[in-house]
Amino acid sequence: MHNEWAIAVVFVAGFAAGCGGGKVNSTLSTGSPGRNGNNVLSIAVDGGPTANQANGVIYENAAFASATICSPRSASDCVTINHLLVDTGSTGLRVFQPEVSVLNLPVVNASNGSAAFNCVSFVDGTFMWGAVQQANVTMGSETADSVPIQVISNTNTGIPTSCSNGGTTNDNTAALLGANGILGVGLEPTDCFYAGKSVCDQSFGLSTPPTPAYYTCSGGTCNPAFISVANQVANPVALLPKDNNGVIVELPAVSGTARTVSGSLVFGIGTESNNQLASTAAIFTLNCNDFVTVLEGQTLGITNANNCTGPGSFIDSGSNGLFFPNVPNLPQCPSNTSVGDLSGFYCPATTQTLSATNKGQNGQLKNTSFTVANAEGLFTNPSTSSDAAMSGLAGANPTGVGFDWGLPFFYGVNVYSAIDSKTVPSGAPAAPWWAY
Amino acid sequence: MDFFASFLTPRRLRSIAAVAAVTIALPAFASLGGDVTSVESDRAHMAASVRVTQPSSNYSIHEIQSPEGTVIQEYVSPAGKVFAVTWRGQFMPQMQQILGNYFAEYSAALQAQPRRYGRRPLNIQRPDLVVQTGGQMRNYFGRAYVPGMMPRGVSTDEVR
Repeated sequence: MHNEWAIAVVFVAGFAAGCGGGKVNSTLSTGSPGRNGNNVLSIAVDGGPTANQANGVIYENAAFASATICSPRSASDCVTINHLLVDTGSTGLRVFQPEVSVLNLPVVNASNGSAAFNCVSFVDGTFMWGAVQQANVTMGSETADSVPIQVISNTNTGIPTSCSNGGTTNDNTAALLGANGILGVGLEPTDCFYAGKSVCDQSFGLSTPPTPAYYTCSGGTCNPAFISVANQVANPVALLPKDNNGVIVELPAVSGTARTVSGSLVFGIGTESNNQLASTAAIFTLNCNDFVTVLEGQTLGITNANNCTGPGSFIDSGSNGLFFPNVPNLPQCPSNTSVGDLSGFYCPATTQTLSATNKGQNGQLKNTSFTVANAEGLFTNPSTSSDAAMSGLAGANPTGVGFDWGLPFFYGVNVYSAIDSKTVPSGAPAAPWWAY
Repeated sequence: MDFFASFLTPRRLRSIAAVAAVTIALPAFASLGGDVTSVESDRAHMAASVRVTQPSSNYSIHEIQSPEGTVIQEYVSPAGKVFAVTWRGQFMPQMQQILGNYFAEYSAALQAQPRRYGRRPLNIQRPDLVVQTGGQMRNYFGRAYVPGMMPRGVSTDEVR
C-alpha cells in the first residue's frame, strides 16, 4: 500500500511554487481569532506532523493541538506531544506507546482487577488497540489529573478479532494516522458513555461486555471485560477542575483554500468571561447524539428516537470534509486520478454553493450555506495542493447515513459542544448539545 | 498501509454428525446471503430480541435489537434469503457475524481502500457486495447488500 502513500506525498521543495501568486479565492495564512485565557488551547490546521518535512504528506482539514502528558507520580516526568488531532466526534486522548513509554504511566484496571485494554473502531474500518493508562494532561494552561488515556500499542499481535473486526488497518503509528494522537473532546465524558449511562460498566446490567470496547488479557488471549465509568478512557476536558462542561472550537473563515489557519479550542461553556454562549449562537438539542439536516428536499435525521434508526446528521471536527448523500448535478470524482482513487469525494465542474437547514430536537432551525469544490482540482492544482485548509472539500455519505459536517463547517463559525451529563449555563437545555 | 487482518475461520466442525446438527439447527455465520433461518442464529448470538415487519410484498425486515442497544435489520426476500443488512448502534457490529460468507470479501475490500489521511465514511462498491458505513464514535451506521440478490422492484434506497 505504500504506493498510495507515495502519490499523496507533497514535496516541501514545491512550497515556493505553491506560493507563486495567482491564487484566486485563497489566502496564505489566516491568524488566530486572538483568544486569550487560561482555558484556551491554540489549534492549527497546518497539514499535520509531516507537512513541512521532506517527503511529508499534507493532512487536509485537520485541526491539531499540543498537550503535555505527565506521570501522576511525578510532576516533572512529562512529555509534550504536538499534532494531536482535535476531534469533537470522538472521546478520549489516544497517543502512541513510544511517545509516552518513558513515563511508565500507571495501568488502569478493568472491573475484574486486570489491566484494561481499549479498542476503538472508526467507520472507515480502521481501529486502534492499546492499554488504558493514567496520566495528568495539561492543555494550554489547564490540567486534568489522573485521566485514563489509551496508549496505542506499537505491535500488531494479540489483538482480538472482535477488535480488528475484519479491518485491515491498525492505526498504530503517526505515519498511518497522520497525527501524533487523537484529542477526543466530543459529546461524552468517556468513550463508552452515551445518553447518560455506560453499557461498559457492569452496573448497567449486560450479561456480557459489549464489543469492541474494553478487554483484559491473560496468556496472550484478550477477552471483553467490563470497566467502571471512572476507569474508562475519558474526555480530558470533562476532568478539568472547572471549565469541564464542553468546548468551543473557533477557526477563522476560509475563502477557498488557505495554506494554514490557526484558532482556539476554548474549554468550558459559560464558565468564564471568555466562553459565554454568544447571543447569535443557536442551541441544537439532539436525538441519539444527532440532529436533522434538510438538504435539497432530503430530510436526514433519526426517524425513530426509541431505537435510533434513521440517517443521523452530526458535526465532527475529526471528519476532514463535508460528507452527505448525493444530490443532483454533483458528480463524484474519478477513481483513477493522478493522486489515486478519489471516488469518495465530489468533483463538480465548477465550485457549487449549496445550502442546508439544520434542525435540533428542540425545533431549533438554522440555515447554512456551503461550497463544494472539485476535490481532484484541490489536490492536484499547484495553486491549492499545498494548502491544508480547503473549505470546499466534500464527499459522498452513503444512503442511510446523514450529513457529516466535518471541519470545513467550522471555518468562520464558532461551534459549541456541551458534554453529556455536565452542568450547563442556566437557561440552556440539558447536555449533550451543539450550538453555533 | 499497515495490516492486521483476522479472519475467523468458519467454525471448526469436528465430525460429519456435528456438521449436520449445526447446519440444521443453527447455520452459523450465514447472515448476508443466507437463509432467513440465519436471523435466528444472529438473534441467539447477540442474545437479542427480534421484531418482524413487512414494509412491502417484496421483502420483510427482521429487526434484531441487542441488549446494549445495537439495532440490526436483516432484509429478507420472499424466497427467504437475507439480501441486505443495516445496523445502527454504539458499537460496530461484529462484521463476521452479519456478513457471513461475504466477510472475507469485505475484509479484502477494506485492505484495497484508497489510503488518504482523514476520517471519512466507507463506501465499498463491488459487483456482488456493497458495504457503506458512517457516523462517529458510539454512533455507528452502516448497510451492506448483495446487488444481485435484491428482489425485483426493491430499490437500494429502501435499505436504510
